[in-house]
Order: sequence, then structure tokens, then C-alpha cells
Amino acid sequence: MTFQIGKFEAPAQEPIVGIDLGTTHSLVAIVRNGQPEVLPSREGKRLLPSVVAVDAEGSEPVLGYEARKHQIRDARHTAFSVKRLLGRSYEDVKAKASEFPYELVPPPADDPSGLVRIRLGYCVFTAIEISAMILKELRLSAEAALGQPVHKAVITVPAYFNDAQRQATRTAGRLAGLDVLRIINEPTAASLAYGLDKKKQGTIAVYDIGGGTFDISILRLHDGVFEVLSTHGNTQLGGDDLDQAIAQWFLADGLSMNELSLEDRAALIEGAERAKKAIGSSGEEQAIELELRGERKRKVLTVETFNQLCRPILEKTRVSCEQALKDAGLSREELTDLVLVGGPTRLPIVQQVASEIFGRTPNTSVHPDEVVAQGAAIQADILAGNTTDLLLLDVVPLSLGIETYGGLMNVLIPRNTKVPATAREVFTTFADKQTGVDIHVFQGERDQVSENRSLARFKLRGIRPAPAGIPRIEVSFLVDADGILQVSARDMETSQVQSVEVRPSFGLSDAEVERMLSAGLENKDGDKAFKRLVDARNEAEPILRATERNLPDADELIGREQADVVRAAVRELQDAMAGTDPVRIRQTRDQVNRVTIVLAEKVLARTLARASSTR
Amino acid sequence: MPRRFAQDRAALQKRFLDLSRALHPDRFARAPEGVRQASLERMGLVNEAYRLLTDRNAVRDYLLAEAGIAGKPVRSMDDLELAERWFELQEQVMELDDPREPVEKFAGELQLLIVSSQERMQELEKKFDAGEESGSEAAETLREMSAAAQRGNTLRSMLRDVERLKARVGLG
Repeated sequence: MTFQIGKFEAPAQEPIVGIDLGTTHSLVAIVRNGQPEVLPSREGKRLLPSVVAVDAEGSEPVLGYEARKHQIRDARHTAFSVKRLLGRSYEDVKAKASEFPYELVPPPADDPSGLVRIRLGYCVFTAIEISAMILKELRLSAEAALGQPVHKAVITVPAYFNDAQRQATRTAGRLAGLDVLRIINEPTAASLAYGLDKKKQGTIAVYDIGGGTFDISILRLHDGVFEVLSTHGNTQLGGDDLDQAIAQWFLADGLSMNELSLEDRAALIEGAERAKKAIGSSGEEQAIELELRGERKRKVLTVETFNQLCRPILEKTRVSCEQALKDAGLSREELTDLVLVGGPTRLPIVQQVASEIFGRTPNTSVHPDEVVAQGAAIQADILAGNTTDLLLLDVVPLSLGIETYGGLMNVLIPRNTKVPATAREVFTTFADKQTGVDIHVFQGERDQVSENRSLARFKLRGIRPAPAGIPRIEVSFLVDADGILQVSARDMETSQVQSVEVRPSFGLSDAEVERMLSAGLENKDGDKAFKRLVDARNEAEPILRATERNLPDADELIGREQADVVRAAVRELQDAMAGTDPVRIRQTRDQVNRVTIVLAEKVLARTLARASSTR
Repeated sequence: MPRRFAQDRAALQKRFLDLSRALHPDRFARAPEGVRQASLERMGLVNEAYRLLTDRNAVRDYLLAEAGIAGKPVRSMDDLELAERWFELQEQVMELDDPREPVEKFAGELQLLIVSSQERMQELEKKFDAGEESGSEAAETLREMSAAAQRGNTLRSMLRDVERLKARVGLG
């Protein structure tokens, strides 16, 4: 064996991909030869629709454009826009349940995560699991495109995502077999892709409206350092809301969404979305024609009506933009660029509202759907150590604090603090010999904690028994570069570090994720497969029994040759029933159905003849 | 860093950006866990320091805490007079058909007082920066600042109450 210098070099680096996990579309990208490049999906497309269909047949979930076809045909088994449900509880979303053409269900009573569930046929999923399926598909796409395994990724999230939503995204990545090196904010990622070959200095506003979320970020560029000055947004506002508004307009004073079947809802939303896109690209009125509850209905959506429907929704972005400017300490005249990101920014009405808010003409990106993934790829390249002249300095979107006397919020880390962000707080005891202190962490901007979002709670344990007020425990809060909270505690007298187990208010604990990773997912797959098998057997059994019953008379009724064909098909079905493959059971059952048409007719005719002769 | 309010913003920013380029966790993504955590904590401290140094209120709080000057409430006759008028105004609003004029007048006065308290604070900051860093004169300036800061807080919170009152009687 020769001793080579190469032996001392770092091992060949695994690729790190950048992923935009979007409400309506997802993409994976990587930097090659210094340029970000979108990798094609396994369907050969640049975008992967964030749609997952769990087919009644077959064992693998179907994703992307193929799943989108299921959306109308089989709404009950198709999930989309699940990003709106990530890191959210059933209580958070139940008011909006009628907007989803699939069923939202509360978590089981014994589930501490509180996360909303999605029912697809027999199976119930969290949004984390559905997102994991999308991420896994992207990972496989990247592996196919790159010809090597991919295990590391940077994933983007809306800047205004809270801790629970970020945790949920990271968990989905882990379930998809990805080591999530960094969670970065979508507008920041977009600015990275946008500002790459652009000016080295400047102050830019990124107006990012996706399928389900809106973000505004104000950044300052200093020779390759992208410093976020402020961010604001709305995690429940996006292109989907425009579709909903068109859908409501189409129903007008007739039906409400609640009265529609899941299939009709899906067809209506799809029709609305198609009209929106057509108006955006053609600038001309569009007819929507749909059959709802068995009635055909046609309405023409004029550009004027469309703009009237969109404007109030888009105007909701104004308050966020003004707050972001104020937090950055800037007037809109001080900006050098306004960058629009996200599919809906193709719509002239969106461009118009954004330019009104900022009083300037926006820079529209060539690929508003792709810049976020490209930016994620650049960030991945930074983390890989390949790109060294760029750096992102991001902020926490929401203030973080703890509950204090009277249910008030004591802010420890104000919003727009740069990450990583640190804060320390000293706690003591209220009773003699008290050994534990409960701490409840919140995220939000209101004075009353009850109006903010519970982020986590934890207990300081093992405090030395002492008179009240004597022990002094310093708790350190650290929001890491992903925008996720870490907590540690130390006894100030003994300097002893105390363990702190933080229980996320909405989400899975590390132990739960581990369990899902090791066994849960496999079991769940097993459960699904088992249900499918039972279904297939139940469906096939009556046909098989009926055919077997009439087989003795088959020669006489349909002739020897035909009867042999039936006997062969029945043998195959019997074989399949003994096995465990639901697809084969269905196929052979269908085969039996097909070859017994004539026999069935003859049997029926004979039965009828006997009935009339005995009368 | 000099112990003063007026900082060279450009120099401070350059120092911050240089430290960020060197210490940010993105530079250590492939490093061992211990190094990554150390980078995270150090960058956190740099961010915290930068935030405090660019916030005059935070600098003042820091200097006050260091000098051991507690934020003891100081009540002046001015405060008392203002409080009395505020109660009077609330009664008037209940009685008058159109309370617009007295409410707007009071709000305008508060705004003027806030501006002058900000000016006063800037004077004190300059005085502190010009003088010795320690000694009885510096301590006296800090004490005045503490009082001025409280006065500013009182005025701002009263103005918020007036805005709420305006909204309640439909003047908002």
C-alpha cells in the first residue's frame, strides 16, 4: 500500500443541498461550479407540487404532479398545503377546517404533542409526517440527479415561523433521513440568490408571498455580509387565500364551503386556482365552470372583480411592511431595492400593491418560484466551506420571554435581535426548602402571556433546600442560528450546571422523534399495509365465494372453454388471497370480475327463469 | 470601548462585521460539536454586546447599574400637576359632547414635553461624555439621567393612555 498525501486530506465531502419546502411547491437545489442550480424532480420537473396522495392501492405514497391528479378524483386521500398546519395544534386551525378538502382531526387524548392530525382514508398523519414524505422525495430526486447519496440539507422556512414551526420542519427533515444543518428564512435566502452578482452595498426589502405565508424582511448588504435589520409577516396569508376568495365568490350566496363534499371543495379550489393563474398570465377575464352537488354552474371572473377580491387580502401585508420599516429605523425612501419573491408575485395586482406600499417599482425576479431554493443552496455551500465571501446575519422574528407575576410577559429577547441571541435571567424560590421552579416560555408581542404563544415549559429541579429567596439559579436562553431555543441552567453559588428538559408546547420531544425514527415509521407503514390488505381481501371475498358457488354449473352454462378461463382466474385469486400483496389481490379480483360477466348473466337468467316457473 | 454615549457608529459596525465573519456558526458547520457550540455562544455574546452598544437606553442602564444607582421613583411637582390634569381631562370627556379640543390639547402638550425630555437626555449624555468617567460629577449626571428617563417613561405611558382614551371616545 502506497502512502499518499491524499490520505491526510479531508474525505470527499458529501453534498449539502438546499431545500425550499413550500406550501404549494417544493424544490431542491445545489451549488455546482459556483452557481446555484435547481435539481429536477423524479418526475423530470423543476417543481415538486407539495401534494401527497396515499392511494388506496399500492403501498407507497404518491407525490408531486401525479398526486395532484388525485386531488380531485380522490380528495379524501390527498393532502396539500400542509405547511399551513406545521407545528400547529387542532385548536389553532379548527376554525379554518372547512378550507381544507381533507379532514382535520384532533390528536389522541394521550398525545402530549397537541398537534393537529390529517385523516387520509384509514390513515392519520401529522403535518410533520406528510412534510417528511415531501422531503424524502426531494432527497431521492437529488440523489438521482447527483448520482450519490444525499444526507445533509439546508431547509428554508418563512421568516415569521415561530419556534414550534421551525422545530416541526427540522423534525420532518430528520424523519426524511436528512441531517438538517441549518434552517434559514425564505426572504433571507432569496436575498442571497438575488444579491449574489448584484450590488455589494444597499438596503433591500424582500416582499415574499408564497402559497400560504407572507414575509417582509429588510436587509443591509455590506460587501458579502447580508445583515437582516428586521422582519415581519403573517404565517396564514398567501396565494391560497386568493384561491379561497375566488371560491367564495363563485359560490356567492348559494352554498357555503361547509356544505360541499371534500371532492367538490377540491374541484372548486382547483378551478379557482386555475382562473387566478390564467388571469395573471393572460390579463384577461376567465370563465369558471364547475359541477357542484350535481349542478353545473358557470361564472365569468373579470379582471376587475379578481383585483377587488385580491386587494383586501393583499392590503393585510401593509401593516407588516410598515412595522418592519419602523423596526429597522428606516423610511421607505431609504431603501435601494424592493425585491418580490414567490409565485403570487407574478400577479400584476400583487406587484401593484407592493409598489404602492413601498412607493417604488419592484424588482421582479426571473424565477420567483426558484430564488428561495437557490438561496438555500448558496447557504448550503457556505456551510460546506466552499463559499467564504458571503455570510447571513439573521434575526428572531418574535420576542421571546417568560411568564412573570400576574401573567405578564417578561421579554428576554426582543424581536429582531440577531441570532444567535442570548439572554440570562436569575430565578429563586418562593418557599422554604423549595427544590423546583416552573418556568414557562412564550413567544409573541403582547403584554399578557395568555395572548402570546406558549413555546415551552420546563422545571428547574434539584435546587438545594434553603430558605425562600436564597438559591440563585441563572438560566441561559440561547436562540441558535436556526431560530430555535436552547436552555441551560446553573446554580450561581455552586456553579453546578443543571439539566433542563424543555418540553415543546406544540411538537414532538426528541425522544418521540427517536421513537418514530426507529420503530414508529416502520410500524405505521406496516399498519397501513395491513389495512390495505384487509380491505383488498374484504372486497375480493364476496366475488370469490359467488364464483366458487356457481363454478360446478359453469361448463353447462358457458361451455367448457370459457369455464376453464374462469377456473384459471379463480385459482389465481385464491392464490393471491393466500398471499399478502393487496395489489395482486385487487388485480386478480378484477380479472375474475371481467371473465365472469357471461357466467353471471347466465346464472341470473337461470335464477329468474326458475323463479317465474315456480310462481 | 470608551465609556460614553456617543460611539463611532462606523467603527463599531466594522468591528461587529469583522467579528461576525470570524466567529459566526456558519463558519464552523463542519467542525466538531464542541467547537460549534463555542462559536454559537460567542457569536451570541457579540450580538448582545452590539445590540447594547447601539442602544443608548441600554448603555445608560448599564452605566446606572454599574454606578449602583437604583431606579428609585422620583416624584416632582411637575408630575403631580400633570397627573391632576389627566384626571380632570378624563372627567371632562365624560361630560362634554365634543371632547375633541381638550383631549387634543393635552396630547399636544404631552408630545412637546416628551420632545423636551429627549433633548434634556441628549444634553446629559453630552455632559457625561465631556466629563470625567468617574467621580462625583459623573455620578450626579447619571442620577439626573435616571430621573429624566423615568420622567420620559411617565410621559410616554400617559400619552399612550390618552391615545387609548381618544380611541374609546371615537377620536382615534
